[in-house]
Amino acid sequence: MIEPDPWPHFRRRAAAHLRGDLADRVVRRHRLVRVSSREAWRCLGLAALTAAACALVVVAVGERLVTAENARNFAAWIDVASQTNLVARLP
Amino acid sequence: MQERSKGETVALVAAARAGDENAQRRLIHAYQERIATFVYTLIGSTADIDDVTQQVLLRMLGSLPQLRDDTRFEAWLFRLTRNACISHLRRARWRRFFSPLEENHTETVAAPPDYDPTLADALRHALQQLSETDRAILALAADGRSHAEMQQSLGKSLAAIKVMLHRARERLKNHYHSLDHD
Repeated sequence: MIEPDPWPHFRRRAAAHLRGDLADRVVRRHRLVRVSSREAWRCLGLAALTAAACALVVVAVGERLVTAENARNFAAWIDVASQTNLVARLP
Repeated sequence: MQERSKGETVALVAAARAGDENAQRRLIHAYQERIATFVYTLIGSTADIDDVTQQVLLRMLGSLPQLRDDTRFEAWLFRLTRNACISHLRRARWRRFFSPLEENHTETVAAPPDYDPTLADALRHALQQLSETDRAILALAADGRSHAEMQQSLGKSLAAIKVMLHRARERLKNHYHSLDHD
């Protein structure tokens, strides 16, 4: 042991450097962190939903475009076939 | 130092974890000075005591749901504090490396009653000569932690703790007394 014991003085110096509102500050910041993390999760959920909806729209529009393209190709084929009398020669 | 029974601490920890802000405040009040002393022992600078203590307590509230055994709260808290201090020292080392001429601001606070700055300074100088592990074990011993609690906080075997504590005390005594002769 060191005599006289310096630890109590060391402890008092450390405690003197804490500001009085430490507990309030920590609790307030903790609340803010909790709220912002909840908000962040909510934003993430919303972003995921939006992305899923966009993907659905893209798929649906793509399907429509492909169907329209197929119909156009079929009509063109019928046109060419009728001009060249191809349909009549079909078995 | 505010002493609480283990049962009271466990109840307070459970209430703080459940989100009771009053319990969180009481838990912080109960431990803030001990954490501040531990922080000061490890980092050796008064300028950062409030900041680092605040970070530790904030991390404590955030990590309470991960604490599996409430009876080991104190050992867990001191381990958390030690890790925060090591991160702080590492960051400070990098900061000094990139801006070596940066001024180190020290706050001036009113001197507490029954306080001898010479003794506190001598202890701080002696502690600064020791390794981080020696400082941590001495801080835990000065806080009245048992060998078993030191073992939980530092993650070493009981035999290793006893040897480390004995050697750290010897080294501290040597450095402390060598200051008298300088």
